[in-house]
Amino acid sequence: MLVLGAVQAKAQVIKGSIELRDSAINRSIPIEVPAGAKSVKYDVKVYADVGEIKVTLTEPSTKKSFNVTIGTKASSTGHEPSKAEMSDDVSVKIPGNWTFYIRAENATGTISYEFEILKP
Amino acid sequence: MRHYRLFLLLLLLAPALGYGQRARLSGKVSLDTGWARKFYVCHMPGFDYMFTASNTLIIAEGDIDTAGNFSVNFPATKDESLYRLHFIRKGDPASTLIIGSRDVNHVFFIAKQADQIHFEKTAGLPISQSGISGSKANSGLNALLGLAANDTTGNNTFISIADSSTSQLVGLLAISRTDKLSEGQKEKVSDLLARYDAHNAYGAHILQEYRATSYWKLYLAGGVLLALALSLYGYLFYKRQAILKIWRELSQREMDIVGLILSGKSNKEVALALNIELSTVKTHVNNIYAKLGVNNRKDLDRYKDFINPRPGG
Repeated sequence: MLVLGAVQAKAQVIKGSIELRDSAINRSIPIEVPAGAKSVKYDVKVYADVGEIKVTLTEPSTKKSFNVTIGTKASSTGHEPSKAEMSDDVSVKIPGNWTFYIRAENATGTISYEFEILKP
Repeated sequence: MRHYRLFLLLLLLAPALGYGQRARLSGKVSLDTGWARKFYVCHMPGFDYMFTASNTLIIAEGDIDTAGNFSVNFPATKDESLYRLHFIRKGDPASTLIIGSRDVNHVFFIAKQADQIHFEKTAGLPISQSGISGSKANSGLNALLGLAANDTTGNNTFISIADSSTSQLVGLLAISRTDKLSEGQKEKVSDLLARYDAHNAYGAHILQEYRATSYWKLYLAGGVLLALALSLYGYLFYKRQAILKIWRELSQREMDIVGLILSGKSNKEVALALNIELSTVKTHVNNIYAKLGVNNRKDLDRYKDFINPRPGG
């Protein structure tokens, strides 16, 4: 079961959370960074109880701000969870479309994200 | 008794022999109370795993004492491998990766069997900027990762690092950070890779990619050669067909005369061989020259392949 709650409060903030229950997901979230934007501040947290989750943030230049995979390992007591936290304030060199990719297979966990586009 | 002594000796040497398959990591760290007093060492089987958090990658772990000291022996390979040391905050899973903020919780290092690596976190600096010593490759790795974090670092810098590094792992990591190479840069990288161990696990993907590039060039060169060969064959085939077409305009008698001329006979000898008048031979020869577009006997050479040996000819 997939529960998605994405909120775009203003054009400058994109935030949301995704809860995965033995779910597969392959999603790309566009983040439009207009000309004149100073920086993109992001805070992404991924937690996996079971399965594997991959999150990637690409800039217009195709450079990856982050490309992180978290996976879990089965143990005698269930699964050993994994967690990743990515946060940074990246100055905008090229305006355009940034993309936040989320991929997961048979995963149980949560993904929360917040992107704030800052202007001077 | 002798076997007993040997057994005892091996028993005493076992830890030392076993250490030969391992490397040692020691360190000192000052963490605030939000952090757990645990550390973990992960083996990175490839560069793609550098930002993968999974318990399957953890190969060693241990406790940090009250003074902030820690140490562990961990399984190491004969050749250089890439490892990640990380710490966790209280309540976080063992496999936690924190990226980008001042709370970065990990640092990469290179080690091979019997290496003694030392980590020291300077107070006030993030973990990722802490010092790793104990192997020359690590100073190269630290410098490379520092440059890689800077957006302005270009391909030439990475290629230069790969060229000057004595560590193949650092060289391969530098090459893996290049992007959109020019043809000249590709050639430089190909030359560099030719010096590397073809079986280096960290370079498998890169080597495969560049070999594919080389194969593509070979296929192209082979294709061009094949096209040239086919063109040449076609040219020769059509030329021969054109000559044959002209040859077939001769009568059988004229063909016989050409055969005799090409065997070295004079007009007089041809006349004798065919039991005809010399003047008739001369008339035939003039007709042959006109039909074949030649001016002398030597020019008839190009038709020698069409001569059928005749009995008594």
